Amino acid sequence: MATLNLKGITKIYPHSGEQKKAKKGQPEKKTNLQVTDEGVIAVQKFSLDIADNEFIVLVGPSGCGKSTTLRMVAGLEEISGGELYIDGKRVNDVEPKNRDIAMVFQSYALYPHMTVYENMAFPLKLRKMDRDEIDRRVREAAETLDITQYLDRKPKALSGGQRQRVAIGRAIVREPKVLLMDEPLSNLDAKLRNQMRAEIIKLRQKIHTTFMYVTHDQTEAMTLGDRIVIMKDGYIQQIGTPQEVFDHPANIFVAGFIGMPQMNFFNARLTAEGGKYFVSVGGCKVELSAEKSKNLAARKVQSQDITLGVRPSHMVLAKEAGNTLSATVEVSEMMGSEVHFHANADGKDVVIIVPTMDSNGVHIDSFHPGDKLNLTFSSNVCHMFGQNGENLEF
Amino acid sequence: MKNENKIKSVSYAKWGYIFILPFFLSYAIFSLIPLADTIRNSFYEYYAFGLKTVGPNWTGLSNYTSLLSSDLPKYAWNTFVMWILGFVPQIVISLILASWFTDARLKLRGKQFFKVVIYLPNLIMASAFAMLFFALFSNAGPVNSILLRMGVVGEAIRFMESTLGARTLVGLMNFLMWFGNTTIMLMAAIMGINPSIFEAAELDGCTHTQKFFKITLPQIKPLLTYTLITSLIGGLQMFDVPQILTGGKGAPDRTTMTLIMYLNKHLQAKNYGIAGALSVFLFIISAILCWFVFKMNTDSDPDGSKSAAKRAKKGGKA
Repeated sequence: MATLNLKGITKIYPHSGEQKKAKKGQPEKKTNLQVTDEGVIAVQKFSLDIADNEFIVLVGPSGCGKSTTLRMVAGLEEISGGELYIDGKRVNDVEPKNRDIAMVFQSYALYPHMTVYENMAFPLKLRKMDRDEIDRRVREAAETLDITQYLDRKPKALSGGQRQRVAIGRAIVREPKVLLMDEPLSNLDAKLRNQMRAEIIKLRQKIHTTFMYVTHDQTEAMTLGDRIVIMKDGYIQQIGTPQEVFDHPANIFVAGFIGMPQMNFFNARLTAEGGKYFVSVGGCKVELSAEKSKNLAARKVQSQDITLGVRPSHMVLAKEAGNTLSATVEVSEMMGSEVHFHANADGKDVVIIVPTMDSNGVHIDSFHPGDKLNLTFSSNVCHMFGQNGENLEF
Repeated sequence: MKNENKIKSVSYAKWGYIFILPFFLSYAIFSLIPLADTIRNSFYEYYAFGLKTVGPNWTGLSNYTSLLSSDLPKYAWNTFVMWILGFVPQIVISLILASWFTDARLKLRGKQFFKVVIYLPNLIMASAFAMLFFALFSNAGPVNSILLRMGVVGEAIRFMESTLGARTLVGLMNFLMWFGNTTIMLMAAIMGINPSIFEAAELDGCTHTQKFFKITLPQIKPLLTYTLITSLIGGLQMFDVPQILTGGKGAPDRTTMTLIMYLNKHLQAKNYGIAGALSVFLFIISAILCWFVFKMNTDSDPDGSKSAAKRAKKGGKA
C-alpha cells in the first residue's frame, strides 16, 4: 500500500564498444529507439503519479520502454535521470531488496530447486520472519490462489497456470507496498490467460496494494487497469482510464493501438464554415456534432487536411448512394452476433462491423465479396487528427 | 515378378552400418581388445626377466594379493592428497571467478581477456609445464633467488626435497592447468540459469552471498557433479606432472609417486600381469568413486512428487 511517484524518469543505455562497431557495417536494427550521442534512449521523461491502491497498466508495442520503466521502479535497472518516490521517499539509490516491492515475471522465475512452499517462504525467510508467521502467510496465500494441494511439489511438476499462481503467491506473501507484474500472462495459452486475468481482478479485491502491470495486450490493459499508460518509443502517449483512452485517443497512435479491430483511418479535409465544421472524405461530407464543433472552435482549429479516424462499429451503412463513401467488400467474416466486412474504399482498407440482426430479430442484409457498400459515419464518434498526429479536439 | 521383389527390398540400412564401421573397428582394435587383454593378463604370471619371458602362467588372484601387500595403498594415498591439493583451490577459485564474470551488475571490464588468460595454462603440454616448474623451483632457481634477494628466507628452500613442497608443487600445477577450464564450464552453467531467477532473488531480499549459496550453487549442481567426476578420474590418472617433476622417482621417498607412475614402472619392466591387475584396481576404484559422487549429487526427487506421495501415504495411515 503506497503511492508511487515517477518524476521525469529517463533511461539511457550508453553506447558500448560493440554497438559502435555495428554502426559501420549494417544499419541499426531497432529504428524505433532514439540513438543519440549519449546512448540509446529507452524511456524519455516518464512522469506519473500513482495513487495508493491504484492499478496502473503500462501498454505499448514491444520495445516501447514499458518493461524498462517497470524494471527501473523495481531497481533492476539504474535510473539515468529523474526521480522515483515510493510513499514519498526518494528511492533512486535504494537497493531493490529495500524498496519493499515484489515482482511477478513473465517467465515465472520460480526457484526450480525449491518446492512451492519453499518458493513462497523464501522472501519471508530472508527477512528472518517468525516460522509460524511464515507458515500462516504462505498457507493463506496458497488458499487465496488455490494452490494448497501443490505446496510440496517442485515447479517442474506444475503446469504454466499453476506456476504463475505460485509466482504471484511468492509476490503477495510479503505484502509489498507495490506489486509489479511484467507481462505475467504472456506465456499462457489464450483460455488460461482469460481465466488468470479474471483471477487477477479477484486478487486485487482481496489484497490491498498498488499494482503496476506491464502488457502488450490491450485487452488485459482495458480490463485490468484503473488507468492505462500508453507508451511508444520511450514516450508516454496518453494516460487515462480505459474509457477515456478509447473514447478520446490523444493521437493517431493511441487511436490505432486501442480497439479491436483497429480504427479505420481516412485522408480527409476539415473545413470551417461560419462557426460550423465539416469533414469531407471521398464523396461524403458530414457536419460535425455541436459538441465536436465547440471543442474545435475552442482550440481555434482552422480548415486543414486531416486524418479522420472512425471505429469499425461506428461506420454506418447507407441504403442508397449519395452523400456517401463507396467501397467494395473483399472479405466478410461471420462472427456470430456480428459480421466484419473488410472493404476497399479508394484503395484503403476499411473494416466495418455490422450486427447480424436488429433488435427485433430481423436479419440484416448480408453482403458478399464484390458487393458495393455505401458508407458514412456518425458525426458524434469520429476522431480528427492533425498533420502531426495529435487529436485536434483536445 | 521375382526381380521386382528384389528392387523393392533395397535396404539403405547397410549404409548406416558402413558409415559407423570405422569407429567400431578402431574402437575394437585399439580399445576393446587391449582392455579385455589387460583383464586377462591380470590373472597370469607374465613378465620379462632379462631377455627371457616368464609366463604366461595362470595364477588366479595372486597378482592382486601381491599388489595389496605392496606399497599400493601408499601410492593411492599420495595420488589422493595431490588431487585434493589441486582440486580444492581449483573449484573454489573457479566458482568465485565464474560468479564474478557472470554477474551482470559488476560490469567487469576485459572479461574476454581474462577468460583467455586463465585458460592458457591448459593449452601448454603438461610435461613442458612440469619442466618449467622444475626450473623455477629448483634449489638455485629464480623463485629461490627472488626470495633470497627480498630477504624473505635465509637460505634456499629445497622445494623438491620436502614431501609437502613436492606435493604442493604438483597440486599447484594441476590447479593452474585446470582452473581456467573449470571456470569456463561453470560460467556456461551459470549463464544457463534464467536471469530473471537472479532478479527475483534480488527483489526477494537476497544479498550477493545469499544469492550465490541459495540460488546459484543448487542450480549448477549437475555441472559441479560432472566437474567432480571428471576431475576425480583425471586425478586418479595423474601421471605426467609428477613424473616429469621428479624424474619418475616420485621423490622424496616416493611420496609423490602416483598410481599410474607405479603402473608405468611395471610396464617398463614388462610385467604385464601386475600392471593388468593394477589397471583393474584403478577401474574398480574409479567406478566406486563415481557412483558415490553421482549418488551424492543427483536429485532423486526432481519434481517433488516422491516426497509428496510419501507424505500423502503417512497422512493416510494416520
